[in-house]
Amino acid sequence: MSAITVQDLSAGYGGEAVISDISFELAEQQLLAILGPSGSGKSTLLKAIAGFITPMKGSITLEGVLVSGVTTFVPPEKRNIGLVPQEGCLFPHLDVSGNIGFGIKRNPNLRQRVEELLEIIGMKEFEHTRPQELSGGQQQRVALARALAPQPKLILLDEPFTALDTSLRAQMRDDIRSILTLTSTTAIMVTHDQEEALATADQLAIMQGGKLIAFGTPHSLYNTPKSIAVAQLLGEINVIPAVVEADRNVRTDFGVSTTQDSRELNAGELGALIVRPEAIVIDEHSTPNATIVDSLFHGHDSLISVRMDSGLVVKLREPTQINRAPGDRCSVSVTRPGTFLRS
Amino acid sequence: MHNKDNAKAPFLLFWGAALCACIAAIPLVYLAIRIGGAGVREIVSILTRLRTWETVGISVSLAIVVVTASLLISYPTALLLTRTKLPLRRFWFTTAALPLAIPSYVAAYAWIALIPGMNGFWAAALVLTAVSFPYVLLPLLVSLRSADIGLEQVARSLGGKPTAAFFATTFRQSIPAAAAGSLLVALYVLSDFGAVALLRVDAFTRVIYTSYRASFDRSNAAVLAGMLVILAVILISLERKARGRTLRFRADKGVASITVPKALTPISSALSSLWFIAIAVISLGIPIISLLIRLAQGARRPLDWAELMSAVVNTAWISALGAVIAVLLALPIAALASKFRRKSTSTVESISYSGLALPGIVIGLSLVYLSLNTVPFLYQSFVLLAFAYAVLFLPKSLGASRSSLEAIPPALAQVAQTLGYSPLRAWLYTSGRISLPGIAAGGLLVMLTAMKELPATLMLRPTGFDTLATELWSRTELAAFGAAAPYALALILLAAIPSFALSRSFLTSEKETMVVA
Repeated sequence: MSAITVQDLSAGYGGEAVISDISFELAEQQLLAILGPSGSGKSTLLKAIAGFITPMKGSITLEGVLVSGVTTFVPPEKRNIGLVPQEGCLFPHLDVSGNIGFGIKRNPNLRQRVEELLEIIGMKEFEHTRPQELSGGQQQRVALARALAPQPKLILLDEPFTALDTSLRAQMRDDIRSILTLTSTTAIMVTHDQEEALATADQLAIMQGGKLIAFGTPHSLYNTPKSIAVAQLLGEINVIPAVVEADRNVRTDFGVSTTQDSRELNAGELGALIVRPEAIVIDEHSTPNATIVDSLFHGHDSLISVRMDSGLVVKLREPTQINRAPGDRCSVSVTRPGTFLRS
Repeated sequence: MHNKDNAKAPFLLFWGAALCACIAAIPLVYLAIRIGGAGVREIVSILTRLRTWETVGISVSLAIVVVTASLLISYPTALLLTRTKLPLRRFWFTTAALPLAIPSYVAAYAWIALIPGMNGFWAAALVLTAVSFPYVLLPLLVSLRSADIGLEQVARSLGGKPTAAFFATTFRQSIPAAAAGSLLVALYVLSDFGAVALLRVDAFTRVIYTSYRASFDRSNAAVLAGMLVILAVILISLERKARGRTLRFRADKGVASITVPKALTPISSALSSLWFIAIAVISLGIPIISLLIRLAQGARRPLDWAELMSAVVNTAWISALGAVIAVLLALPIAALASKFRRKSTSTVESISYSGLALPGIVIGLSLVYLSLNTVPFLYQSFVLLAFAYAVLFLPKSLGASRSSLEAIPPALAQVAQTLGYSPLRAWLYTSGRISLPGIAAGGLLVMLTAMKELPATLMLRPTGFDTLATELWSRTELAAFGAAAPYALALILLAAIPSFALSRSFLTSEKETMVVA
């Protein structure tokens, strides 16, 4: 059974739809990242799932139980959905254990459960600490424990890492990922950081202009995107004009290559091949076919622009050992052809 | 998630807040009804009376004189405090707000006790200036201190003389602050009852009171009260505008250069000190010394401790009751206004600020009429008196509750809701609980202010129920100055508490600025 099913959902404020016709399904114990630029409707979708806004259309089903539909509306306090807002939002008047125990006050095993969660988030010694004395990362972990305490069906994380330093982010990402796995929790996380989404999620939903424009595993969306917009949101791309020669064989300036696409393609079709910069390499030993235009140093690698002799400009990523200067001649080739998109 | 919802407010919250605002507007509405009931001919006859316009003339000229005097005192004082290395500068800074702690009728009593027979327009102007000039001085200090001296330096580098440069730049920047302060002083003078009544000046409030006491002419009191409300509303809206401009002046500037205080020559140092001493003597010294002399001399009858204690107890509990009602009325409105920004919510909020435009004497009058005509069993009851305090000081409680609620992210209540709390319980356990100290402080402020209230108390108190203010009033009226002294002292001690809090917060902001410098 799926943990959450959203069907044809439209929602917004004051009669105006911010998100429309959203449909997806998420299996239990999966982490879904919703990725999109600001204003794309990510937070509105999260609010609709939590129950803070009443949808205009469509339905939301949690573990087979309808919580929002044409005639049904279950208020947030009855949905059993946990929420971790931006910057944690811990209750400033309560200490760490008071925060964690807030949602399970009537539970006879309150103390035991709080201790269990303190253990899970690795903050046993902070039991009586006030939120103001915690670091940003610690606050975020307590907020997660607080949401997990009543064993919710689903946890919603609203940009949980934005308030943290870049150096802390990767660590927190791993921590939260492993806490969610450890507690077998289904979660939906909203983010505008593509690296974060790719690194953390089992499933990825991409939103733009209030619509869900792609849904799938990070791997499939990155490697075989269904549109240029989706491909761009997940990182740097090259759009290389291409023509189909025979089934799955396309011709570009790099010669003939086989696409990773599984769709049927007809000979003669015009379109473009989407190739990631890391799928293009400089081959030292072949005859030069391109000139270096520009090299952007990124530390672990460099993003290099080259102009092919045919006039096409492509970007490629290369480890930084070799120093390339504009004007240098080199030979480039595609190692891993991407998806073919019809124009 | 977003901090402020442009979503619709919950039905119950909106109508609960609207109900509270309407309750707070009862005195204003009833005053209008009462004036309407007088009939057009009666109103026209009152409006064409010479005496009516004499009253307007006296009140307005009193306000103009006091505002002018306050400006003449405040500008040099503020400049000396912000621009020079005056001896005892920090001490003078701390005492700047203190005169506000002395209720006008206590100051008037002290002057009369020192100079028996003192009365009239100029006496009232002196007393009212001495107790209200800090309303101009304080905003002026803030404005001069934060004024961007860079502009003045630019003006001087362009060849302007120091004074010309000052008037062209910093002085202009300080005008909105001085204007806002002046309007507050004018409002204070127009609504003041104690000083003008004790010093026998026929300003609005005193004429309203005497007309009301002379029970044959109650329409006159109502119409005059209506005119007073209109004047107050005009002053308040002007003050809002002026204050808005001060904010804009400060909002859009980058890093300001801060003044380096100038050293004074020994002579100018001595002269400036003399200036500060003179102000302190008039505004604080004379009232306190006069009071202490009377206290030392004693009264013809020895002090009745039981009577004093009963006045203290009465004052405390009736003010506390008023504060509780004010907080209860303010809470739904504050909860609504802090969370939902819509036209309908700001209308509700504006209605509840009606207390600002209602001088105590007007609220007293309106509630007397209301109780006599519609709910006689409430006439001269504790409930009605406490209600009058609540309406009068609701803006204080509302301001405190609202700002402490606004500081709390709404996500806290949302988290509580996802943890199984109903919307009301979620609010109570998070926003409500966290803002409790702020709300309580607002309530305490209402209580402390209500303890000093005189005119509404005089008109609405149950027979035989005496507070510190009414005891001081009746003794002063009988020229029993010695017997009044303990009550005056008790009132000053009570009133000093919020003023101390005010100057302390002012001092801390002074420290912060010094750190920046």
